Amino acid sequence: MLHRLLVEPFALPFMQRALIEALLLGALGGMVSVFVLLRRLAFVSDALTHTVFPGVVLGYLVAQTRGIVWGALLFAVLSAVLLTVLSANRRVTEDATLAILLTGFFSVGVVLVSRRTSYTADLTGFLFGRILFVDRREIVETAVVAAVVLVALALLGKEFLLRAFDPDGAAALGYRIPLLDLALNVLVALVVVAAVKAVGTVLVIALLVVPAAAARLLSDRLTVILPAAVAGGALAGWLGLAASYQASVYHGLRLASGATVVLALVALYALAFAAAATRRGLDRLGWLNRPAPGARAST
Amino acid sequence: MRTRSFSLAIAGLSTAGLLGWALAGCGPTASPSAAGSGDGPARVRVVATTTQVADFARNIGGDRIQLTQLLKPNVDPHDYEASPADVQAIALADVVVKNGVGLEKFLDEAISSAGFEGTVVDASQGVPIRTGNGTDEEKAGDPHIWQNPRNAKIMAHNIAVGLSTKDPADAALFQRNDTAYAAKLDALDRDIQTRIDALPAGQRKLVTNHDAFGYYVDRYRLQFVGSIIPSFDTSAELSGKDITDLVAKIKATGVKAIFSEASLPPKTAQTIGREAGVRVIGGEDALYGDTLGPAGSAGDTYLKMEEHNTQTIVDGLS
Amino acid sequence: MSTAAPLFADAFSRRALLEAVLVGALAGLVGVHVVLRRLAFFTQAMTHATFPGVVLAALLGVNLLLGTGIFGVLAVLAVAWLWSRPGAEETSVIGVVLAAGFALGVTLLSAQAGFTRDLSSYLVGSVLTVDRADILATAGVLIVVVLVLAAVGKELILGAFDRGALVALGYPAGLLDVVLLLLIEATVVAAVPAVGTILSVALIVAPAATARLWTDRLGRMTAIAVGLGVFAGAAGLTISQLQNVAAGAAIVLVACACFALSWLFAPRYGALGRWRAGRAAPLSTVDAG
Repeated sequence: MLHRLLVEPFALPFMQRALIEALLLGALGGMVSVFVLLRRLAFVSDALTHTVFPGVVLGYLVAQTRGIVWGALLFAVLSAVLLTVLSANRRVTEDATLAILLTGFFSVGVVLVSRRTSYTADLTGFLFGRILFVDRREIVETAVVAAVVLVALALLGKEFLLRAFDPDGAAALGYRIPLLDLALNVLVALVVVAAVKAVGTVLVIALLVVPAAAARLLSDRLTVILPAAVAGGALAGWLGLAASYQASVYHGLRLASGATVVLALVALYALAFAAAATRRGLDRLGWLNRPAPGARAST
Repeated sequence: MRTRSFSLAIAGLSTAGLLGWALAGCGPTASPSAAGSGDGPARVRVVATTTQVADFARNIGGDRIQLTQLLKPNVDPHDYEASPADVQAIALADVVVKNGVGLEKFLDEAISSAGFEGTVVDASQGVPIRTGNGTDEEKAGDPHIWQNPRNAKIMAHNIAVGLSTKDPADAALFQRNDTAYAAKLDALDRDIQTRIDALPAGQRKLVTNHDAFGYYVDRYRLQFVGSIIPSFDTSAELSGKDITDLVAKIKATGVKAIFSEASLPPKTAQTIGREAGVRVIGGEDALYGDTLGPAGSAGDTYLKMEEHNTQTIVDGLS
Repeated sequence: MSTAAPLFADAFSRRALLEAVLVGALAGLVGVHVVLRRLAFFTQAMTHATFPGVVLAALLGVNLLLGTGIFGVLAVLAVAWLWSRPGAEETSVIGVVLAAGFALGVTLLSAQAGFTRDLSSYLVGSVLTVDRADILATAGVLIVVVLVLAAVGKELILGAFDRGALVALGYPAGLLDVVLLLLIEATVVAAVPAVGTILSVALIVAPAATARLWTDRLGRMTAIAVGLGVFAGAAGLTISQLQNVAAGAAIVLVACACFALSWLFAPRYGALGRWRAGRAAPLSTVDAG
């Protein structure tokens, strides 16, 4: 029965391709989500998913479907830069800046759409994703982005961590904080661009926030959080697709595939939450041998 | 030490357990392609895109086809998102029937994703196409070809030919069904003509939710005053200028009533109706523009839909 | 033709204007607190988390505002509860609630076989088709917000700057927090018919953030925020009438433009002012830590 639930959906090639894409994006998102968590970039990530929207529109205007990714990329980098620059004014808090940037850009996108009336379906696709239609080329594109991000994290991961935990120390060691911040923002932007076609800009925020949040509930050690987030992201991709297939084929219910992946992520979060709560409950009952309180390391 | 990873272990073990169980594969599996086999000679597996061409296919194919319809009633083709079942149906189909004239933009991607290599029947072949409204989307022309019963005859015939090519054994049956349906369409056409001609000449004017009725208007010689959404794209948001312009046009032509479509929300039509001081005919009596109605409604087959639209228009304008 | 005809001559555009003005004022009032307490992300999350409420309301045929309201309250409670748990990072929790809410909404939406236009107008707003009920609802929310702020406004401000003092003085700080979150949620619910879910956060944040670039004093900040909110509503509508542009987006772009101009040119705190002062502008006391 579980074989039918978890393996059978992927008998046909289009579902296999969707699965590979979902696994890739889930793992990629999981990886980056750890840094989003550490640097509290959840809102930045959300903002980036909105600021790429006019880029998507412009890309489509210039080069149809193929142009979308380039437009998104351009605007993603542009917004990362703009954000870093605007944060220099300390009178405006970063969250206010983000909110205004996000909505300003998105409004530009809406205005562009409202003047041209010819591409709602593609637009819906970019807001909510079209993972069932990914072709080989897009999988390769995603894999390339994943590789780039992986290399960047391998090279700069320690610096990112240092900057997150001890910014003054990092500055004292000569690291240029604004450049590091910009680099991480750009990495987040790359994930957004990679995910645009699969799960859509609206739902990619989940990939960038939930895996690490769930992993964090289970442990405070980075050596655990990172693989847990990656595994959780990939697993949610698998479960979400399988659920969407099941509902569609056996119950006649259309559930958007991108959305079910996000719901799977949230379900994993709830599971982690329950596990953590159970542990605390058992702790209080004295059923676990614990070191004295206060020995927990903080992040 | 073990307490630190305690909750992680619990979550991890349960997930791993589930996975192991799943991969061990207990229980029989139902292969998706097994559905429908084992009851006589294999039926032709047909996937139809819109509600209209699905209705035609049903009338032509009868029980010799196994039909999957992609678009459900009241779903805007522009908003349609293919589900896994849809793509799978295409992958396993023998024939795909589409409306054509660029209406199903999603179909090409779905077909290539599904790896479909069978026949695609374009129902619009041989239908005289009106010019589109000038937007990119209507580059190929106005796609609402079914609104004229004479076009519907051509579409049904195209489907019959396509099915016969795939399934020559049943060609005679498809031919008979085609002829019978064509007769019904002719009768419908005559009936509508009579009723429209009975309207006073000055009242044969139409304002609707959007430009879906071009072929109907042309065929029965009505005058199209304008549409509330000035393009085929049903999600374009109106600007203040659009509303003011349309209200002025309505007042200038003295139209008695404006018509809202069943698949679009009535609020916009109501606003304009209020401003222009005309009746708004919507809700239960709304026109069926883009799609047929749901099962059990007044427009759940093509023939019923055309009857309903005509009656609503005639009642509104007389 | 419309440049010659008087603007706002029709009843529908007057209704739209009234709604835009009310929403602008409301957004400015609440926006001050959002900006001072750095709750912009929370506000953003509210606009997304209320989406399933809209879908359910549309499915069940009840008023959309009711659905939005109920899910808004649920979202506020979820966030407040999750924040109180150990191991919860503030912004991640908001992100989880936002994602969960919106995905739930999208799933429900897709289950009813398609995105209908009613719901996409929820995303970008349709201020031009507001009716009496919408205006009354907005006015109602405005009155409630004014009353609540009159009652506990000072305490809320104190809580924004010095929570410890608030607690020490015996005020229920946690309860006041939740009250503010609910006010924000009510504002979002009222703003959504006008500018849509995706853009409402701009109307709430931009006028107040702009005001902060001009003054330190709370009274003036509030007045400027409300004034800018109203101005954005009216000006945006006018532009929509003249230029054939979506109304909701126009309103938001006016608000953002005001912000951008102030960011550049405000005498003390804008880029120009800071450059002139040799980048020696001290941190003001309005900055909460």
